Amino acid sequence: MSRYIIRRVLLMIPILFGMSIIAFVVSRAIPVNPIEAAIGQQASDHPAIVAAYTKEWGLNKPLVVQYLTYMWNLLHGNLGISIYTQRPVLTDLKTFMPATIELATGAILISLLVSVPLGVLAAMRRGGWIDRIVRLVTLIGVAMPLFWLALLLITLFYVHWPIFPGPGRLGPTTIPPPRVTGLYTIDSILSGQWGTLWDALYHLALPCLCLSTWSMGLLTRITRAGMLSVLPQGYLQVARSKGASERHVIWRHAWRNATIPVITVAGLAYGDLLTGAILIETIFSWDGIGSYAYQSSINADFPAIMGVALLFGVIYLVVNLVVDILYAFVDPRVRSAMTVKQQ
Amino acid sequence: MIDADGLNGTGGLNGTGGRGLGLWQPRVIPYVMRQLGRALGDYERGISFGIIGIWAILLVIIPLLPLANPLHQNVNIALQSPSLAHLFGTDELGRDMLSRTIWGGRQSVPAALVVVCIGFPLGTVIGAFAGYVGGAVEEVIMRITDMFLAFPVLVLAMAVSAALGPSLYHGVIALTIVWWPSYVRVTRGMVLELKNRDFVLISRAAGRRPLGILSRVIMPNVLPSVLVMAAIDIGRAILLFSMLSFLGLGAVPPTPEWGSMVSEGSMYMDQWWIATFPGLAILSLVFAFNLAGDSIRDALDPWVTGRR
Amino acid sequence: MSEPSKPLLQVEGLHVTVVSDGVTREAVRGVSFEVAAGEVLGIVGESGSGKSLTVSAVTGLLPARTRRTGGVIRFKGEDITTASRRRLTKIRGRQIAMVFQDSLTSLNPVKRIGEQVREPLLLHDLASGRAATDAAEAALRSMGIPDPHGAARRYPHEFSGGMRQRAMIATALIASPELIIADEPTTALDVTVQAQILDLWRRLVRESNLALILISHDLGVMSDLATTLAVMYAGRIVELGPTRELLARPQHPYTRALLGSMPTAAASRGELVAISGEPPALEARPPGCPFHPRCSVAEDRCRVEEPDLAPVSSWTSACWVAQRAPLPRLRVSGDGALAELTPALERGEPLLRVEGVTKHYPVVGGVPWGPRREVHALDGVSLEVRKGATLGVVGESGCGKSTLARCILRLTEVAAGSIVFRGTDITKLRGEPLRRMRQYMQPIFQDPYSSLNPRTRIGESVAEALLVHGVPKREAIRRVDEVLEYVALGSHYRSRYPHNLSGGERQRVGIARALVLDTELLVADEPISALDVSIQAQILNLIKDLQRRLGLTIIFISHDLRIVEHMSTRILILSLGKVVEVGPAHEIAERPRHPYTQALLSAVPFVEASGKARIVLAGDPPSPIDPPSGCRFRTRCPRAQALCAEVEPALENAADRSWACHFPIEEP
Repeated sequence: MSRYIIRRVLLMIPILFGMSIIAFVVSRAIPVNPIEAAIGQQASDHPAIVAAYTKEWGLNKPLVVQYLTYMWNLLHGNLGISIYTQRPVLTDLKTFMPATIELATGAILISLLVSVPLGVLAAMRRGGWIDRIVRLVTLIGVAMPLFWLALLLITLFYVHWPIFPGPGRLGPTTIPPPRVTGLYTIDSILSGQWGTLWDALYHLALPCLCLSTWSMGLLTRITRAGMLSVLPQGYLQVARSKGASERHVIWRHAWRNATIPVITVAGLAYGDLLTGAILIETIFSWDGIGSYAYQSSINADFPAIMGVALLFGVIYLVVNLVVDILYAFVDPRVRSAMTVKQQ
Repeated sequence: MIDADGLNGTGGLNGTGGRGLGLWQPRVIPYVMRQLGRALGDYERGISFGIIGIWAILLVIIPLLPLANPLHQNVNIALQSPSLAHLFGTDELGRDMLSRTIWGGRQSVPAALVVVCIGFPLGTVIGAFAGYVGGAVEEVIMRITDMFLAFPVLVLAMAVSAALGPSLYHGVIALTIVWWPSYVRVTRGMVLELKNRDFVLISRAAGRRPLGILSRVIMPNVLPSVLVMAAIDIGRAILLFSMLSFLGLGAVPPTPEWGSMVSEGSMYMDQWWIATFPGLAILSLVFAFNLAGDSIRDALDPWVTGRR
Repeated sequence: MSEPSKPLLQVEGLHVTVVSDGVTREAVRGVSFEVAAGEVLGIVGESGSGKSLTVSAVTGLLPARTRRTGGVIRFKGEDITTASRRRLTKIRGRQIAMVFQDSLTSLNPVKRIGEQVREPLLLHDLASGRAATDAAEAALRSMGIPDPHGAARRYPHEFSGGMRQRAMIATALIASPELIIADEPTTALDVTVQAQILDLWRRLVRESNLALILISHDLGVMSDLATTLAVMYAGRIVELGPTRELLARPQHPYTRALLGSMPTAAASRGELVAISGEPPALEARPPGCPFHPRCSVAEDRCRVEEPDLAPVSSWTSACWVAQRAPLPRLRVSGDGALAELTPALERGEPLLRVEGVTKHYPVVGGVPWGPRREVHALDGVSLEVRKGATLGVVGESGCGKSTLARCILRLTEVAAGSIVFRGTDITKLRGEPLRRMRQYMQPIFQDPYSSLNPRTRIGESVAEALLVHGVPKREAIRRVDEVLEYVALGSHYRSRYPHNLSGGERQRVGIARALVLDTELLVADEPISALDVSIQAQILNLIKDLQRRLGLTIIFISHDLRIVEHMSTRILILSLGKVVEVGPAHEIAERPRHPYTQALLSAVPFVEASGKARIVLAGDPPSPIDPPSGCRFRTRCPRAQALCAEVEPALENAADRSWACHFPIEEP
C-alpha cells in the first residue's frame, strides 16, 4: 500500500514541473508585453519599478535562467503581486480560498448524497420509468448552463418566493467568526457561534445547490453505470445462494463495488466544480477565488489570474491523489497491481 | 404495448373501459411519466438529431430569413414582453429577441466546432500513436498530456483574455490548446487494450504493416467511441464559450451571443424573456448533443464488443 | 450400498421460460429427476441444453426475464415450488448450497476470503464474530488450504484458481447443508488442479452423506463422480440412468455420439465421431425430436413426434429407436493414416527448428528503486517439427505455450535463441523479408469471439492476407470462396459480420483465413477449447482432413493431453518455460518418463477406466515470476529429492525421445 502511495506521489512531481513550465510559457509568450501585463500599465511607466521587476524575475537573463528564477520564486511562494490589490498573489489566494473550498466541497457532498441513491435506484429498475426520467433529468442537468440556472433559481427563490437569502456569504448584520480555517461553517462550530453557523449554512445553500447540479447529473450517471456493471456479476448470485436477502445483496455487496468508479469521477469532477465556482461566485457575490479570478480578468490583472490557474491545477492534482489513495483503500486489487508488460 | 389495466380498465365509469379521467386521477401521473419515459427511449436519436439539424439549418441560412436585424436598436419598443410582432420580446435597447437568439448561435457554435474539430483529430492521432508505439515515447506523451489536463480550461481562457483583451478569437485559441489532451488519454487507453487482442495479432501475422494495423484494424474499432466523446464535447465547448461571454471575456456586445445576452438579462430580472431564451437555446443544443452521443453509443454496442 | 433412501429433492415436470426480444421461449421443457442423500446426480449437456436453468429454478435463483412456468419441486417432502422468498432465503446456503463455476467472478473482489466464507453462518444466525471467523478458518483448513489464518485475511485476486475453488467449496459446506449443487466445478482449472479438486469432491462424497448435483459438459468428470447421470438436450432429459452402465452402453444417439467425439485411449488413432450441425438455439428448435437433424439413426417418426423418457435396458431414454431395440455401440473407424505417416515423417528435414529460445517479460508496478521482476515465460526451449508432422505442445497455465506460439510466429521478439523456418533464421528477419515469410506460417487462436475484427465482414477478414500481399481483388475473392469451401462454409458467408456467427462458425473462418495463402505451418493455440464438445470433434476432424489434403505441418497447442495425443505425431510437454519431455505421441502416452507427464496423463478422468495409477500432485503450479531453483517441477513432484533443488536437470536423449529429470520413471 505504501508503495502504491509513493508511486502516485512520485508521478505527481513531473506533472507539477510540467505545469510550471506551461504557466511560465503562458506568462511570457501570451501577453504582448509581458512586463506590462505583470505590473500594470501605470507601473510600467516608472523605470525604477520596471528595473526592480526585471531583476526579481531575471528577465534580462537567458530563458532557462528565467525559468529557474521563476521556479525558485514559485517554490518560495512568490507568485507575483496583484496589480489590482497590490498584495502578493499568494496572500490573496490564501484569503479567498476557503470560501471556494466551502462552496465546492458542499456542492460535491450534496451531489453524492443525491446521486448515489438515485443512480442505484435507476440501475435497479433499469428500463423502468424511474430510470428513464432519471436519465432525462441528468442529461438536462449536464447540459444546463450554470449561470443561467443560477439566475433562474435566484429569480424564483429569492426574488419571487423569498426562501433563500440574498447574495454574500453572510447576512448584512452577521459578523464572521474568528478565522481559524477561513471556512465560516467550520469556524463558527469551533467557536460555538451557532447563530453564525446557521446564517452561513443558510447562505451556502443556494449557491451550493446550483453548483451541484452539473456534478449531480454526472455522478448519477456514473453510479448508475457502475451499478449496472456490478449487477450481473457472479458474486451477487453467490451471495443469494448463501441465503442473503435481496437487500443484503444490494447494500452489502453490490453497492460498494459499484461506487468505486464514482470516487474517481468525483475527483475529476472537482476540477470542473472549481471552474463552475467562478460563475457561481460572481453571481452570488461570494468572496472566493472565483470572484477573484473574475475580477482579475476584467482588470487585466495577469499575475493574479495566473496564480489562480496554478492554484486550480495544484488543487486538481492533490484531489486526484487523494482520490487515488481512497480508491486503493476500497479496491484491494489496485494496491498490489503489478502488471506484466506485453510487447 | 399499452399497459392494459391502466387504461382499458376494469371498473371504468362506463364498465367497458371508458376513459373518464376522474376515476384514474391517482394513476394519471405515473402513466404520464411512463409514457414520457417510453417516448424518450424510442425516439432518442430522432429528437437529438432533429434538434441539432434544426439548429444547424437555422444557423446557416439565417441571413436569408425574414428576421429583424439583431443589431437594430429602437428604444421606443424596449423591454416589451413577447407578442405577435416580437415572438421573443425585445431587450433593453429595443432589439428583437427572436432574431438575437438565433443570431447568437453564430458565435459559440462555430467556435465550439473549431475547437473540437482541431482537438479531436490531433488528440486522437497523438493518442493512437502513443498507445501503439509504447515505450518511452508513450510515457513522455502521457506526462505532457497530464500536465495539460491539470490546468483548468476556463481559467486559462480567462488568462488569455486578460492578457490580450476579450474576444472570441482569443477564447478559441486558448481552448484549442487545452482541448486535445483528453482525446490523447482516451485514444491511448483504447489502443492499448486493442493492440493485444487476437484479431490484431492475426492481422500482424497476415503480414500487415504497422501503419496498416493501426489505421485499418485498430482505429475503426476506436473511432466510434471517440466520436461519441467528440459529440458530447461539442456541447461542452458551447457551454464553455457561453460561460466566457457571460463573464464578458468572449464575444463582445453588441454582437449577439448567448452568454453575454444572459448576462445583460440578469440586470432586468422582471423582463424574464431577455435572459431566458438564450439560456434555453444553449440548453437545447447541448442537451441534443449529449443525447445524440448517448444514443449512438448504445447503438454501436454489438459492433464494439463483437457479441450480441 | 446403502438402502434406497427417501429422495431429498424431487423435481417433476419443470418448465422454465426465457423472454428475449419480447418473445417468450421455453428453455426447460418438462424435466424430472430425484436425488437422495449420498447420491451424486450428474447433469450433462452443452450450451442450450437448459442444465444451468434447471438447477437455478430449484433454488429460485433464476436470472432476469426467466420464470418457472410449470412443475413441482419438493425438498425433504416440502413443496417449495411456490415458496415465499423468505422461505427460499432460509433454505439457501443452509440446506441447499451452490458452488459456482468461475471462481474469479464468483468471489467479491473487495472483500476478504474469510469474510465471504463465513457469510452463510452469519446469514443464518448460526454463529457470529470470533466463532464465525474460527469456523471459516477451520473450513479452509479442511479444504486443504495451507495457512488458513493468513488465507482468510487475503483477497480473492491473491489466490490461485485452485485455491479459490476450494474457498468456494468451503463456503458451501460451512453451514452443513444437505444438498450441494455444483455448476461446472472443475472447468477453467489447470488439469493437475482439476485432479486435486475432483479428489476433494470424491472425499467429501465418501465421508459425508451429502446429496450432490453436478453440472458439467465433461463426461469424464461425470464418470468419475456421478452415481446417476442425466443427459440433457434442448431443454429435456434425453437419457437418465446409472452412470457406469449408461456410459458403457449409451441408449440415446446423442449420448452415444458425445462419447464417440471424445478422444479416449481406444479411439486415439481414428476419426472422432463428429456430430454434424450445432446444438439448437432456443428460437430454432426442430419439430419432433430436437436431435433428429444431427442423428445418424433418425427415422420418420423422429421428425414428427418428440419421444418421452421410457424404459430402455435398465434405465430410461427418450428415443424412438432405442425404445424399440437397444442401440449398439458406435463403431469407430480406425484410420491408420496418421500411424502410417509417422515413420516416413521422421526421416524428412525439419520445417521448423527452434533452439534455445528465451523470453522474459518485465513486470511493472513497483517503485523505481525496487527489485526488477520478470516473468520467465520461456527459458532455453528447443524443438523440431518435420514437414507434414504435427507437434503437440502441452502444458498448464504459466508454462509458456502461448508465448512460444507468439515467438514462433514472430509476433513478439525473443531475448535469445534462434528459430529456423524453411532454412532461414527468422529471428533475424525484419521488414519485407519478414512479411514475405509470413505467407507460409499462420496462426489459429483460441477465442473465436476475439479472433475476428468485429467491424469487418467475413470476406474481408479472410482475404486480408491476400490483399496485404498484393493479390488482385478478383483473384482474392475466388480464393476466399475456395477456402470457405474447405471449411464447409458457403461463399454466402462473405458478406456477414462476426457477431452474426456462432462460435463454431467463427473458428472455421479462423481456419479458412489461415489457409488463404500458401501456408505450410499452422500454429494452433488452443483452437477448440472455447467450443462446445460436440463441435470440438468437427473442428478437429476438419483440421486433420485439411492437413492430409494440403500437406500441412501443424503445431497444436493445448492443455488437454487427450486431444493432443489424438492429433499429434509427436508431443512436447512444457512446464514453466522449460521442455520437460518430448517424443512420439503414442510413446509419451503409453510410457511417460517424466513424473509431470505421468501426472498429466492420470489427471484427466477417462470415461473408460484406464487402470493406471492415479497420481494427484500437491500444491499449485508455481508462478513463472519466481520459478523454483533447480528443477522447476520439484515443488510438486512426488519423486523429488535434494538433488532436484540444486541442479537443474538437462535433457537426456534416447532414440527419438528426450526428458529432463534426475529420477525418471523406469522403462517397464
